[in-house]
Amino acid sequence: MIGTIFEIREFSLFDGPGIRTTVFLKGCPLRCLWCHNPEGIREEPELLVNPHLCRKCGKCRAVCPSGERKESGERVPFRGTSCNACGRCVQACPVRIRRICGERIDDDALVKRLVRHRSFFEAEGGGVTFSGGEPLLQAQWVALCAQRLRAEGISTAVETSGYASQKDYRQVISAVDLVIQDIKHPDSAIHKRWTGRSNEPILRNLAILKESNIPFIIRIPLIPGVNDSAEDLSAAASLLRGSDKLLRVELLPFHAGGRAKRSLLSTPSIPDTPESKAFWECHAPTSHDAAAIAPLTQPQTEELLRPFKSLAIPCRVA
Amino acid sequence: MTPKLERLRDWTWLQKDSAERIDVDWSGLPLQSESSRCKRAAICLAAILQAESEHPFIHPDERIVLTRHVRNLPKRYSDEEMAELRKTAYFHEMGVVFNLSPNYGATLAAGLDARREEVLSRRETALREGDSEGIEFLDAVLSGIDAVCSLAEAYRLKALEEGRGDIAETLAQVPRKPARTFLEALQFLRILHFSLWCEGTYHNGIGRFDQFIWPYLKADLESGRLGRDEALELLEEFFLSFNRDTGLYIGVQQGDNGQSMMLGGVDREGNDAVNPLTYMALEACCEVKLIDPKINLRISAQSPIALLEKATQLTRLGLGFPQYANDDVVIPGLVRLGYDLADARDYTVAACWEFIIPGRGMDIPNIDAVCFPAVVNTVLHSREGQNAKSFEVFLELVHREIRSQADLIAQKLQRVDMLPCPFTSLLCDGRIEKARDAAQGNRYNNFGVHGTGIAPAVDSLAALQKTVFQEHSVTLAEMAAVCDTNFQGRDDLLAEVKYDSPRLGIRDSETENGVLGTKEIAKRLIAWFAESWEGRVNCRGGIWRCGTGSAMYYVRHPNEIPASPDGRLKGEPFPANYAPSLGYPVQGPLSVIDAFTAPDLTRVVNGGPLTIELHDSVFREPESITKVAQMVRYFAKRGGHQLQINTINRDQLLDAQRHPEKWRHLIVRVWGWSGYFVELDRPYQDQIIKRAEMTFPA
Ligand code: SF4
Ligand code: SF4
Repeated sequence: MIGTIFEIREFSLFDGPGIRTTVFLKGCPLRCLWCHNPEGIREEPELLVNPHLCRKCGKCRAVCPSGERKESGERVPFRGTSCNACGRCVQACPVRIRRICGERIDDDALVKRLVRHRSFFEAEGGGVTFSGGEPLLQAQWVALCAQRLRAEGISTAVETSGYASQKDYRQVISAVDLVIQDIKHPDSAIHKRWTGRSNEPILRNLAILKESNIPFIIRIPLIPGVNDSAEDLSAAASLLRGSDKLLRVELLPFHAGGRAKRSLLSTPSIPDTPESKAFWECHAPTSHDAAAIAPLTQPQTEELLRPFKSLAIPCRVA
Repeated sequence: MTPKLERLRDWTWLQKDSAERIDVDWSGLPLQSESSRCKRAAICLAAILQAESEHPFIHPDERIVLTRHVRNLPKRYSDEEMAELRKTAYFHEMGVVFNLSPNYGATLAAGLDARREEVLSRRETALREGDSEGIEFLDAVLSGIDAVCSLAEAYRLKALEEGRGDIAETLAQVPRKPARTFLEALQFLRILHFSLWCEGTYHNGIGRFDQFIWPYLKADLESGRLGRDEALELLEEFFLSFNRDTGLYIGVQQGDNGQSMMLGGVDREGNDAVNPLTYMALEACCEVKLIDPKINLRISAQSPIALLEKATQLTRLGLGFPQYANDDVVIPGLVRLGYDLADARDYTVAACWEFIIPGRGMDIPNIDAVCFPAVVNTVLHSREGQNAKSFEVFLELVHREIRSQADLIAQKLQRVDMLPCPFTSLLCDGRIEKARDAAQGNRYNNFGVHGTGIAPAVDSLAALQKTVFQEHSVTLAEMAAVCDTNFQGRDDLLAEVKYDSPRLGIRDSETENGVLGTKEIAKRLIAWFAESWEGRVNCRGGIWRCGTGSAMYYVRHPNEIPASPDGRLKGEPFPANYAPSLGYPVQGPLSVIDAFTAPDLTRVVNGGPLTIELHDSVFREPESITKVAQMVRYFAKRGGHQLQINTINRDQLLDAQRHPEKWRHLIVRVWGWSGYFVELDRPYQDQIIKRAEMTFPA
């Protein structure tokens, strides 16, 4: 069975216990404006170009079979207008600033690549984490790979937004040893405004997770002005009441890294709407501001954690 | 750190480059007329220690004293004389003894009075035997002992004058009588270490500090003479003392001073020898946060995670140490080379990473280097090489060339000499008994040869295999020409070898269908390198041993050969030591460890660490400490010999280049040692920035 991934990263320290290998699955039903992995949103493989190092040699244009070259005009570096990610221009580029993001791979080949580090996992712990994109968009495949890894003695985890059908959700969580799930916003309308989708399936799946016997971690990406008020965090905390298997809540401070990556994509996976423009205006006017966001102070951190601590939920700011 | 220590640390920092030191005019010393090498050494040591004892200096916050006041050591030989000497034999580096790890422990336990008795009685024998050479040497040792004792006495009187009865009391005991307490042992060690530098011996290792000092600390703690906190404070003060005179020490770059300390490991009988001082020393370094002493830690597959976590705390600070050595590989490796098992178990490192035996090694572990990319280059440019019909044939020529490099080096170094170090010899086992200077040899007189650019050489061979022998897209002669013209006009080929061909630790290939994988090529290169030195005896009666270190050659060698078939353009640096080529996206440290531990590393125990750079964001969560510690243990389990993990942040380095004044304290690992980034020459800085581009984020 074939799945589509866009990266395998072998030294993940923050996606579960031990040193893990994280597999990033391509495709996501949500459109969070702050998305950190915009190259993971589309389901199909796509061409990425890093324009900063382009030598303007035109070799990419010369080999492109895509018929509509004229329309791309003199735009350099060139991207075929009806690009199907065939990859010819990647090989032709002398500085290799072009790459195809997204690889179709069958479960056999994936498992073979992942068992390479089994000796480490066996000796020191760790395992494989499926992330994305949204791994549950390829639920059957993820469940299959996770089962096969389990049979190889490798522990697995999934990192998900929780946005999936009940059936898909149940299938995947029962195949892994740990679930890491997001809560982006407790309120459905606001959730829809920032992510493009309502949070109803997410909350329903969270309830399933709480009832299951699977250990889990909840992550809340802190987006200033969107979900970091005491009220929003309290609402999120109360969703987690009565979760025996909840290991901890992690609040992830905002960084604007996703903004910088957007220029790599041919067409933005999140269209520039007045709303998205306004979002970036106030969060990171230029991609360089990504680094300039001040770290949280101790009192700020305490403030953010208070709603969770008051319910005796283990929590921390990452 | 306590406020007192904070003050001492600030002072140490200023003292390092202090302008208040004096230059002494040594022209009056009766050197020209003195033909005996030993006597010259003795005259010089006595003169500098005499000059020092005229200016004893005690900082109000310190309890362990001795600070250099005189900037310049007397020159035993004028430049002209030295040039004459160099005509008679090869003198390595400065021509004096360096890169050794003395046996401090024995003298701390005996005291210099007892050592003097020993020398005197040996002198009687020499006198009876009419051994004039022996007498000359022993007299020089005695002169050194006297000079050291007078210096200590001058400090004692100064302490009394300044109302520092505590210091005076310590100095009333050591160095003449045996150390009885932790404080006395540290003060004694300070005196001896200080005196070695004054004798002109350099790259003075500290050796297995936690082994020979622990008994003193243990006794203090058990008797209640000393509390743990006070002990830690003393230890930190002692560590600070290594940093105050470093501006005066000899080295290729500032910071390259060889003050390496080895912690952990097993004892001479093979029992686990990690003790509370091992942990305390790691903790002290975490607080002191300066470049000396440079910490090494012996580990094994069985090391407890708690020890590795403590060491990782140090890694997290970005000091560029500890450097790890794996007992499971190093000990059998040394035994294989003919070392006694008990000595092998007692190993430490010389200045950087070369494994030597404290008190018994008088090796020259960095006498020369083989540049692997140059070997490939030579074969590629030879008529025979260009006629190779298969990759195996080409490789066989590489094998031959590695051997001829060894022949060349061995032939060149037929007469090796060094100037004596009588006082240093006192601290080397058996030298008094033999009545001969350590410069004339000791138990181990081995020569070590570095191997630069092993990974780029593997990558070049893999690129040739792919382009020439598999794909036939270029011939060997064409590739040679392309390298000579720095890939000009061959962007296509450059991109192909740079980005599509296999690379060790970066894009490893497996051996399949007769095509050799990267790890297999690396295995062979290392085995051939080891083989090329096996069975050779050097001119000082020792053996030759090779390693994976690069020393400063990684910056020198790349300018000596044209571009390489793996797409490294002329002048682009090699990685330091044993590490993947620079400038490529790496999969992750586990892949790097897997690739670089594939060869049999017991055969390259001249040392040279696998170097892994981590981005400082790796440590943003507390559990990262455990995870990185697990990675270290995995390295040991995989059979790695030596490991260096650096924590760096490229943006910081770039900013430090632009605003050195803001970053005076920024510490980086250079090759086998840590230094202050802003004090390095530009090519070294640039290479580190290039390495930083390859850091592993988490
Ligand atoms: S990947 Fe796209 S742009 Fe590149 S050659 Fe193929 S169609 Fe053209
Ligand atoms: S081939 Fe590469 S360098 Fe040349 S124009 Fe295209 S993107 Fe730029």
